[in-house]
Amino acid sequence: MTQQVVGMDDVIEAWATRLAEAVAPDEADLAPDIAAAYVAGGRERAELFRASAATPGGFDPGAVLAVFPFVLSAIAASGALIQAFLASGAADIPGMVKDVVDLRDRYRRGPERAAAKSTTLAETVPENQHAYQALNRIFIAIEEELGKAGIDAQHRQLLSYRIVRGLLDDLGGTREFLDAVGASPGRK
Amino acid sequence: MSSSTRSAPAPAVNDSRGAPRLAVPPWTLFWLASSLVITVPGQLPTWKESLYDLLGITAASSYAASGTGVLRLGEVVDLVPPLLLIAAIAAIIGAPLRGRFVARSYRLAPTAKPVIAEITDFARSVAPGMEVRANVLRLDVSAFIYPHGFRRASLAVCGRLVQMWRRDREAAEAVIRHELSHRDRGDALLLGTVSPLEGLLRRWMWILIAFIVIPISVSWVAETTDFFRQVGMPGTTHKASQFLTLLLPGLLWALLASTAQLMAMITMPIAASWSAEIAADHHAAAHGRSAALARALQAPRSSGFRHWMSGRITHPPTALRRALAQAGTVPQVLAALVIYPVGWLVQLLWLLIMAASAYAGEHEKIPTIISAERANIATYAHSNWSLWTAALVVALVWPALTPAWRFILTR
Repeated sequence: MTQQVVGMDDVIEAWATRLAEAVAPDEADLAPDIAAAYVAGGRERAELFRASAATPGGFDPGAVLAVFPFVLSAIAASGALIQAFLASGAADIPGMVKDVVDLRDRYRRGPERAAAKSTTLAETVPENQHAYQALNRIFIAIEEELGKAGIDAQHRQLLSYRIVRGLLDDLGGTREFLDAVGASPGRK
Repeated sequence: MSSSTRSAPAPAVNDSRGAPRLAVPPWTLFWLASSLVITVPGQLPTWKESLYDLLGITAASSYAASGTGVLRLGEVVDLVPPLLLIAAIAAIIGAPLRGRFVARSYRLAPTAKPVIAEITDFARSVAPGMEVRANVLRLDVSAFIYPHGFRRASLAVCGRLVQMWRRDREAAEAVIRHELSHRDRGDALLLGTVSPLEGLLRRWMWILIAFIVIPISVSWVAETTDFFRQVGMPGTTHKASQFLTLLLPGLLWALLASTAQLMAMITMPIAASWSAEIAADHHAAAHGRSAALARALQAPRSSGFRHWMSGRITHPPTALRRALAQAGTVPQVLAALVIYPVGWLVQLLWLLIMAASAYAGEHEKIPTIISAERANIATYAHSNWSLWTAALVVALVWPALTPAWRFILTR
């Protein structure tokens, strides 16, 4: 069966669980299986996104309410940007992620405050500007992908912060996942 | 822990002690039994005639005009009641096969995951020995009960329930109690996943389109074409304006009459299915768990009325179930009890609409239609009184029969 068919790398399993705990804690139990199915691709992956009008049981709206499969989709779709960012070594810059998360949080409250913070960030550490822009592109790409999955704007902003933080908190797992997904069929 | 252990001899559901006694008869089985005993003998000649007409064995005079041959397909609508009965019998006879098919198509398997073990422990605290199988990758499904024998059923647990189990444990427990109630009542035999009966009922719109809308429309187009060809021809009195006064209303009345006929035919099994769902909700909401059930019914992304009409008509609208859950267990059990008898009133209403549409299509005057409808009501009451008496007897004796019924289904 599904849980046995998929050969799950321990690194990705642990990475998926940690990421789900940060992004969608209700789905942490499911995360290793979801990640395994996603990596496997094909029918396994398709099942994650399956939504039937005639679901059995009396409580189901016929839609996938879990977000973790869409999180993985967004990460996979932004894979090239993430890989480039990781390869640049910018992910190791101290305080980078915190600053970017701060900045985007301010952007939600008002573009003027965000612009002020952006200027400060660039002036204070101008060598980080390129890395900041690269990270910002990842945010935008992930948000766009989450938007395609029908996740509302506010929720996907929050998710994208948590996703990026999760990705950068476990660089090894992130690289493993992206490598595995890059090699798997049926990319969604 | 092995979640695939076969069902051990089980006592009555543990946590139902002290709860308001669930005395809602399994109306689905009543519908099947009463149809076989009371309805079938009287209707058999009519169904046979419809089948012969459909197959072209008899040459019905009404199909002689140009373009009306396609109306033969409409005979399928007359055959919906026997098709429903055949589907119901197939659901029961095929219960062991259905179990295997469901397990394969939903990729259900025993799972050693800790969260599934927790869910299994809870399910077995409610229904000792219950077999639980899981597929956590089906994220659009929470849980459902399915038969894998005439008296055995398994609980399928899917990803959405696991998610709910972590987010709102009480709501997830309400879902499980609801599903287990279907096993105790024997609903899983006739209804549920891969049930031919439920499959047929859910596809009522396809029947409507394929065997009512398309044949009637095609025939109407042919008739209209003939009509316009004859307008202005020597020896005819046709006027083009009669399209609006005769042909168009004729189409609408024919569509309405046939739609009402189909709705009348599916009303009782749907009423029985609604009763089963509300009875299961009642079980899930007992012991002050109404709020948890209401939360379980709170879908963050509602798929809307059209989705319900086309695929979920065997379940009462979620808004109704939520309102009943919030109203308390007494309104719930009363609703579950009376919704089937109320189905007869709804069926009568559809039959009256059907008859009125047919009369209107024949250009009958309103007083004539009213008079005919009065006679129709009397005929309906006369032909159903034995059915109603049987239902009343079953409703009265069911509280006494419930323990034996549950024993038969769960031992």
